[in-house]
Amino acid sequence: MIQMFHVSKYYGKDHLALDDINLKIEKGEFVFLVGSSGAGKSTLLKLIFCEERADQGQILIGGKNVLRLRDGQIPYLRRNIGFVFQDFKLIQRKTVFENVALPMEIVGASQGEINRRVQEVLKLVQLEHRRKQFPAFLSGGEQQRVAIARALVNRPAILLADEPTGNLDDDLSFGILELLKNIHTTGTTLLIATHHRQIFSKVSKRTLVLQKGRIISDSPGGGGAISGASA
Amino acid sequence: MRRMAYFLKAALENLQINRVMAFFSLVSLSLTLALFGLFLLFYYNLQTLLASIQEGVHFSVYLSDPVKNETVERMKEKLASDARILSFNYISKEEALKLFHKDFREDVLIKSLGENPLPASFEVKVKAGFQEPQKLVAIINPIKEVPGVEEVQYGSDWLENLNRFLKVLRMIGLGIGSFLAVAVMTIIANTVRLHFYNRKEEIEIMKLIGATHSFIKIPFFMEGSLMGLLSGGVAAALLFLMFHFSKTGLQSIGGVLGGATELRFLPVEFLLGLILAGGILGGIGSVISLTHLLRLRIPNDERGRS
Repeated sequence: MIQMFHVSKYYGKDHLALDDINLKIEKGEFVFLVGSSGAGKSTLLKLIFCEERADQGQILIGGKNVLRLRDGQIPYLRRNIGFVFQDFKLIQRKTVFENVALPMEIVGASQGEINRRVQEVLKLVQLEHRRKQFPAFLSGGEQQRVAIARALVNRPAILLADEPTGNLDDDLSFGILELLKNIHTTGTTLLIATHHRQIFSKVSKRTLVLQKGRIISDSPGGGGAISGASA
Repeated sequence: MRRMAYFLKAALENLQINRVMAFFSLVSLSLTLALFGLFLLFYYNLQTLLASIQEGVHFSVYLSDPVKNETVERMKEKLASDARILSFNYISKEEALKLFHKDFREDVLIKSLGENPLPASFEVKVKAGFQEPQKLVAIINPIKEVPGVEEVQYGSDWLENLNRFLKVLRMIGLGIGSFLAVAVMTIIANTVRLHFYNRKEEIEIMKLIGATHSFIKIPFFMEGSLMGLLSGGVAAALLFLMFHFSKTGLQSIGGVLGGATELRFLPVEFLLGLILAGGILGGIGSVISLTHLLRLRIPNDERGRS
């Protein structure tokens, strides 16, 4: 599902953010990407999401080389990848419902489809009762669940999450983790960047450790790809 | 259809969020468009005046003495067969004398000249559409060549001057129109640009969740067009009010200019044109602004690092 071959990324001339990354994530896998701040976790996610461009190497998403995509094709790639941000990135003047519905508005779904699907994902993240609220009236955990619902609403094949528990206390973080595990059971490929040790040590999943832009360890964990899923 | 409703809703939201800024832009735009409307009003009335003067355009064909029946018949035939001629009237020497008597009652003057000195003539009226000086000359020139025709007279100079003046005015109008069009586009481009910056974060988020440039642009394009249309409407209303309240004063100026014609307000086509021009210029202004802004921000910026 996600493949990287000798990928490097520089910021300016001197700062090497990612150094010769080789990586293969199968369809339906649940992978943690861990490392300290500045290790290159967010950069790696941004390369998959085309928010940044790699300076060297090749990146294949679902067999497609994303480095060859033109600017105009990037939105279509993003529609197939859900991204959960550490700072939630919710539109403050829109309600929970409108925030979650936005990706469906973008793809031109009908109002009926939008109502049905948004209801479904809000139920999944247990926020049906908050659908008319504005983000400012929600707790951090609730806002993050809205962001997850928004990332899932178009049924993406891949879900990327950049420090999804970064702004949350432990109880809320475990709640989010349970939610992500639920999402994984639907066959979605998950790549979660975190430095929250309690989170990834609680779950037996494949874990990639990044240090100074290099993958220094790739431990398979116990619950890899869902049976029957292939890249 | 649902998509258009979504975009329209987003455009109206844009205006509502930035209502103070939108209001001031609307005032500037309305005044700019009203200024152009004023010029249109002036031009339209002048052209109407000219048209009313041209309606009375006629020329006189004087025949040389002694008048031969053959010449009169040939002229009648020629004028009757010309589709550009509206009507003509033959005035014989005797009739000319009678008319002279009727107009001047100066028997002494005529008697002192002995025999009738007035020439026979044709009074010719041309159809509308052939009353401009150039077209008139094209009718007159062959008539001058007819044997027995002494002279052809028409008020050419002042008609030509007036026409030339209207042409210059048209050029000035084009110049003013272009300047004001640029002004309208600039005001709208700047307003949309500011609105865009106000919603920078939202736009970033929309791009991150898969919105295309068009999806982001269309509501702003609609916002610009709506502002333009609305300003055009306000400008038309302003013009009407200005015209209505200053009509009496303007009428006296119209009288001085020589028209028995009454001053007229712009016809509906002109007003619709003004409103539509506002909308189109608004749309163009926003597209220019947004194309530039979106190009600046996609695909990458180098702020984010892990």
